[in-house]
Amino acid sequence: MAQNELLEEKAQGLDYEPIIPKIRNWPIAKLYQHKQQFENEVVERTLAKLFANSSADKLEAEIARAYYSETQRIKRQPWKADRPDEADFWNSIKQDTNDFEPSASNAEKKQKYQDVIKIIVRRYTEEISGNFKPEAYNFAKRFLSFGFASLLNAFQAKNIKAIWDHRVFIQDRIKLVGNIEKIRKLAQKGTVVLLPTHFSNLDSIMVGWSIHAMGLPAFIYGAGLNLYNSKLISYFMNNLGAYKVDRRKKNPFYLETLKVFSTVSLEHGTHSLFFPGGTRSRSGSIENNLKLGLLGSVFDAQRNLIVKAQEKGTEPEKIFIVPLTMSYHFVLEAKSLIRQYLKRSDKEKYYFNRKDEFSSQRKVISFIFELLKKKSDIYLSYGEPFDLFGNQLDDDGDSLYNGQKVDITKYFVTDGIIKKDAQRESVYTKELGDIVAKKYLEINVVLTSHLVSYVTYEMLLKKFKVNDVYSLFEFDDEDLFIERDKFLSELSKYQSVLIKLEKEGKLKLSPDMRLSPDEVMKDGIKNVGIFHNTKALSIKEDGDITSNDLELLFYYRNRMLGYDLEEKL
Amino acid sequence: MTLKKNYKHIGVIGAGSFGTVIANLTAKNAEQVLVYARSQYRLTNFNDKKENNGITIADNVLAINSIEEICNKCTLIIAVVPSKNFREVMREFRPFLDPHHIIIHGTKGVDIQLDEGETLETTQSIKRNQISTMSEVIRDETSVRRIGCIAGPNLSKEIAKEQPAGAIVASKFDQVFDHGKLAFTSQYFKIFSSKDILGAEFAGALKNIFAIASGIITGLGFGNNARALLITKGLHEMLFIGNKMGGDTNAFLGIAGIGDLVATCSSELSRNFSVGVRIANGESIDHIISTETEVAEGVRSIQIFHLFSQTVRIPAPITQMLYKVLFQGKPPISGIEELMAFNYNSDVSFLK
Repeated sequence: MAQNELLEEKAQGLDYEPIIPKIRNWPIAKLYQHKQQFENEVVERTLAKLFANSSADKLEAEIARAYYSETQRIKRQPWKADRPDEADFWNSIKQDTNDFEPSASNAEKKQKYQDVIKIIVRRYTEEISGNFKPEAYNFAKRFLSFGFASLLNAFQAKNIKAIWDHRVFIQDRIKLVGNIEKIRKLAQKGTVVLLPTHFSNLDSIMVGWSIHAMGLPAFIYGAGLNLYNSKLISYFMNNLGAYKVDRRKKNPFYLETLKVFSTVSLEHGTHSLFFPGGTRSRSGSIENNLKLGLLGSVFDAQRNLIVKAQEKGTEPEKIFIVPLTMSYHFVLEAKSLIRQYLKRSDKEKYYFNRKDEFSSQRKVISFIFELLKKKSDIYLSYGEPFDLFGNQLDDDGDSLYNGQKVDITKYFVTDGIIKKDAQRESVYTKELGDIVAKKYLEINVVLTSHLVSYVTYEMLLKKFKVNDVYSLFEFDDEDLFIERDKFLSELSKYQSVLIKLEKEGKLKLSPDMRLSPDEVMKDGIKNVGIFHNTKALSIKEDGDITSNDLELLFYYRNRMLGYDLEEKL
Repeated sequence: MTLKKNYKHIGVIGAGSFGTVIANLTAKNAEQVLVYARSQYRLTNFNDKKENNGITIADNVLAINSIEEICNKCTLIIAVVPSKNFREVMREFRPFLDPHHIIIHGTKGVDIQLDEGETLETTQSIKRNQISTMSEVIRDETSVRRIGCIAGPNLSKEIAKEQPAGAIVASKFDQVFDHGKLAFTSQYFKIFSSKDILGAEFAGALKNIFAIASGIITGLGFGNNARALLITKGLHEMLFIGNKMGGDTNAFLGIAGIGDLVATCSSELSRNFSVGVRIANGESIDHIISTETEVAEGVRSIQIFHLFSQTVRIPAPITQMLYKVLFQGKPPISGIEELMAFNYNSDVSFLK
């Protein structure tokens, strides 16, 4: 199959020259070389947005609300990564806000409130902002490129030689799929916004590595502040261009600062990475309901770039969207994620909170090691780049719709001029989210373990004539099996459906998916959740297929949702 | 003294009865309305005779056959083209349209894309992804994003007489709705807003089915009880199919749904209604089509949604009955008998 060969071929050979050889010339490095200036710009523009059409009363109310939610957060949800002077800071904000003569005029009050908000926004900006140090980047690069042996030594220095013998290389395990050359070309013509699916905390490392392997300069990206609780991770994050996102802070000052931070860095040409799913997929399915918050900043940035270019009489810098899906045979956090999902569906009461597997650094590192040691491939599938409106792009970055050039400035025009229309752009943002969700399904690489889990799960539902996973929980483990012959014949039907869908460009298949049903079954069962303590799937002595962990089975099965396979059978 | 108009130009695609009515309506709010017409016959009607399909043309309406001129002069374009030709027309307009254009359509039908070699008569099944509403067609074929739909009880002949009427303009974009309001509103025509464009489009396409059924009931000599039964159960069926297609419930309960359904099912002015009457009088559907100058969208909707409801297995007794009567030679009266024997579970089941 030609398409399949293509996948194989593209998965090999990763020797891409850096598109910008000197790290100090990278957009992200330049952005942080003028860190102060950049942060000032963020503060000023955030304030301009917050102060537009705001009365003294409204500002006062917003300060009061922010004060309340922040002091509550400090009391109830303190994190290690929090700055130690938080309580003091908000106390002083409270004092400042009320610090004027009783006879003060409305204008004087307003000025006072604006000054206070300025202090808050300044603090948030500094908190969000990261840094980029070439030394840190070089260190991380070496770390990832030359295997994890050296680091593992530090943790389990019992038998250095044995570890060295198992030395593994990340590039042997990760397969890059997609039109890499085009992404490289466009990264030199404009600013790339990379939108990956999010299944595991490992994703950031994988994406970071792949960006490097493709010869692209480092991307700026938002990382959850909770990750900064660990000192080691915090060091890397801080110096590799990550900025901090604190999900606990939901007040408008913070949210606006965060948005403007992203907008301004995009306008400076810094390639950016967002996880549009927001958090890791709890159910294990590919995200279809994307969080749009930061995606909106992309439209702000593109419009501003157009306005700037028009003032200068030049061609506007363009922003390009690149979707990315990651396919793993197993996800370290699967168990806790799926439990959260099942619990959230509020049918089950017996679930208790469990520690996220990623909370132990040691576990993560040995996990990565296992992952690379075992022959379990990871696919990073990069989609064709498109503009903010879903239009295709030619090699020059010009937008095409149905083969015809589209001038993207026209999307922002009202009555002949470029104008911000927040409602219009919110629709564009939502439509972009829909386009990305659709692309995810198309570029997703289906692995044997995904299909085998899906088929087993569906067959179990049918066998017991039930509709959901909760009902399956009620059956005894020894009853949860499917006869081998029946399984293989069903599997082969699904295989042909998937092959047809691949031909139609609706998904991608890993090369193993073309093996005989028997081999697909064995490969899938061997690989599914290989690292978990309990097995999502196994083959019994008599050859039948059984599940020892329905939750995990359900999690891996969900990866196949979105294709309506049952209907197509 | 002349008042300043809201628009310099508004474009209209489609020179049939409804296109003419739309041109006259918008002519109150634009200095000039440009109607795209391909045939010399329509051009003469509009520009020389100043009358088309029995409707007098407003002075500031001009028919032209240049797509480029319409697209260059008009930001706002109203498309009123039969659903069957809609995609083709959008393809012709594509080179001259760009993302700043606003298109509001008033077509009450859907587009289908069948597998190669298949026709509506031969195909065995129709899935959701083979059916597109007109807004989906515009989105597919052109780079235009600001799309809206005007829908409601708008019998051309009544609007032409300047009787009070209203419609919704449905769009995800506030800007499109604002334009719809500016372009259509007059002292006898009122515009309401809706965000549920898909619901409005499906309501518009589906209600024609029941207008044909209503015509059959009238043609058979039955009265208001029977018609009221039909309208109520028809709404039920519309909602069922519409929800399955991805439309919201709200639009079906508003003027584009109930409003339009009541008007078309009660009025002999409706084209679809008169098709039903002729069927009841024993004429064949082929004969009726060959004698009509304009398409009754309902006939096509019956074919499409009959297949769709079969494919996705949802109950649609009225549509199924009409299909048998129109295309399989079932006598109209036994069609009605079949409906009376149908086992409806309950009166209302769509309100939760």
